[in-house]
Amino acid sequence: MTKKKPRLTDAVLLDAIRRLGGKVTATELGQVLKYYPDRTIRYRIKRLREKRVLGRLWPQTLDTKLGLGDSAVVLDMSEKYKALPRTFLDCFPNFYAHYVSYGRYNGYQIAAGYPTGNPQILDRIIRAMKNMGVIKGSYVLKTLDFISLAGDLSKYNPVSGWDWDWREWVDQSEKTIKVGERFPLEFDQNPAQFDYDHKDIEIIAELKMNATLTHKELSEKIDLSETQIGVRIRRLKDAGVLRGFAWLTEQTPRNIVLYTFFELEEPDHPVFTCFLHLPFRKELVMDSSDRFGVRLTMDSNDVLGYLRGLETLRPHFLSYFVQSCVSIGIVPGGMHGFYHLHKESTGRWEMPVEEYIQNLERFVEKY
Amino acid sequence: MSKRKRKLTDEMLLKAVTELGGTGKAPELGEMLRFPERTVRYRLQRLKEKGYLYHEWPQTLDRKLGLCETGLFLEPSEEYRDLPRDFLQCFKNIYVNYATYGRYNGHFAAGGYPIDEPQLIDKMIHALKKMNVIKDYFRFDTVDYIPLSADLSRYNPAAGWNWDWKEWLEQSEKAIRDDEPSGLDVVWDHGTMTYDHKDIAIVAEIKAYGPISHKEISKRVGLSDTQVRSRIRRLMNEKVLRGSVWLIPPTPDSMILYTFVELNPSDDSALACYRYLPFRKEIFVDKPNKYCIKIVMNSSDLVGYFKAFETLRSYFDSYFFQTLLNESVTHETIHDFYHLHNESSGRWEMPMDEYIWNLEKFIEKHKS
Repeated sequence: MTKKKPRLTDAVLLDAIRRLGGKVTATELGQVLKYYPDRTIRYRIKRLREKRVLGRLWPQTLDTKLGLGDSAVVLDMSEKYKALPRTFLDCFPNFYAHYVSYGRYNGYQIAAGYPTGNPQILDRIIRAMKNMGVIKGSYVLKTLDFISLAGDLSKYNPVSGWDWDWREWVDQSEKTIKVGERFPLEFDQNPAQFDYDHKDIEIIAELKMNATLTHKELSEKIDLSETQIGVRIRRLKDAGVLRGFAWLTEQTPRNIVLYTFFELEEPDHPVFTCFLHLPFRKELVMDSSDRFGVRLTMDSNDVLGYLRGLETLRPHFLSYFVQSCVSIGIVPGGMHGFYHLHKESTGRWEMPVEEYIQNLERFVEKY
Repeated sequence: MSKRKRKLTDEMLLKAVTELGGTGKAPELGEMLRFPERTVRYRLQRLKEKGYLYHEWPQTLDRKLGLCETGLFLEPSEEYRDLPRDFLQCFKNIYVNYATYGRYNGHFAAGGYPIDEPQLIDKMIHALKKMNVIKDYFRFDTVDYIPLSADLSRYNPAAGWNWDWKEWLEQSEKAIRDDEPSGLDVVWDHGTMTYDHKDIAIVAEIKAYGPISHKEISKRVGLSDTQVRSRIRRLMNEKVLRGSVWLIPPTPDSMILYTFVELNPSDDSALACYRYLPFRKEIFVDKPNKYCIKIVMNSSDLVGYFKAFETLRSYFDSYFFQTLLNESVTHETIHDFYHLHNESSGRWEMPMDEYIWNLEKFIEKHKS
């Protein structure tokens, strides 16, 4: 009699990915799904990618520990420069990604880096833009710490989108708030510094371009032996810089990113817990113990339900606003170029802000 | 040889309704398509059953009856952030309210005020501010509005709107390049007509109950059939009754998006672009440079509109969006709202002091 081996279905695999918080390699999955060899798992993942259930793998890093601060900057464009081409943002190589953004502020939303030792450079840039009359208002949320949660892929279908019901979310949220279920995850409010050098940053830069690179491939790109790569990656993981890998859903034309910025009385207020009930991919960002931002990647048809549900949550925010972001743009040179703002020779993040501002002045003049 | 019988298809009928500006009754459509009225009526009924058409919405210009329209975006203060939206029920001059997000986050209230008392709304806002219920607001008074019909031939109840934002962007850029005028025929002063309570009672019946027979109206407002008929004719001649448009049945995905724009009225081709959008939209006018475009679309259309707007936005002096959702009607029916017009005094009675007092009581109750 032959022993019948259960087939590894998409549902089983997606459930395992979800249980592992979405941050998984085939080997890690193999430890959970003991029945199946790595090879089978790798094959099934490949199939899921072909079916567009899974997009690409994204390494999640807390760059603050590498001396690189991260922030969300929202710009309200002035009337005078409303037609300024979007490429003016390229004057700032530390603006690594940007969206067209609508909401309380109408203009652009930018993901911007800064040296943790010199956060004032952001203020300097914004002040210059204001003085030049390019913007009339702005909002900045700096990432002290973040928690990244993969979407519940078992509720995602590449054709029909996310299977959820905003009314259910409201019911869950009302219950959560009523019983006072505190926010269960913890932000690290005093992230310890980590002793890093340029090679560590090179590793991160390569992984951000392609997270599926093997140690061997990495060692070919970076002047390090395979063993050294392995040691460094383990160190980066142990220090909480490299927080694992998350499967993203394939980008589709329906995708829209909604940022909800809010202030809370207490950082673990139950209203924060309510966001965990949503199926989408979420990034929860803490600026300080009372200022937060939640980034949700959803489909256009989910926006209405989200905003409907948000009406239940909003009385619990001291203040809040929502920005809708579309049409992503990436800094010329990509993430690789951005990370190479760290200079090997000085061992520092070099962001010559006065030079950037001069570039903008020239750009505006030409315009 | 047998004569081939033409068949009246859904497509033909929806196209005809669209060509008539979203309106069209069976006789008119029948004449246009050369089909018997009975056939048209039957096909319209079928389209309703299939979810393509909902009902006809009577459009009115209440300003000529001394009733002005205002929209208020209210941003709650931190202190009253948990005050239920029901507080707006204290104000009988508000007929509907929504939750809203955008530049202003909080509540949207639509209501009216008597044409000779615009300060009534100032008083309301002043009170809300003084009591610290709101920290900020935005007011938009509708002086005139222009409905732009939906392209019903592009709508399917199952698949939604068939449109492509890139195509719209091309049409829009061409319209702007060609300096295509918006063609919006805004009337800045409609004046008022001589009216009495019976006229308002008739409008209230039509507005609340839609297509209603003259006989039914005459029974409800206490006038003879002939009188109702001649009054309706007068209201139509005066353009108080502006005809009815077909609405699409609301689905769980339908949403209302307001785009507020400021632009130079002598260079308004950016507004012409909206003619090429398939959705139902209305353009409201407050001042010669201040417009509001109301679009009823599906949530899934939002991302395309936002993407296209990246290009369009530079043609406006300023702009912002507001979404309106979770509708809550203040009056039991729109009927009650019109009956704020008092028969004995012959005036629109909106005792704001009383409304504010109601709010004070509401807040007291909320606090305890």
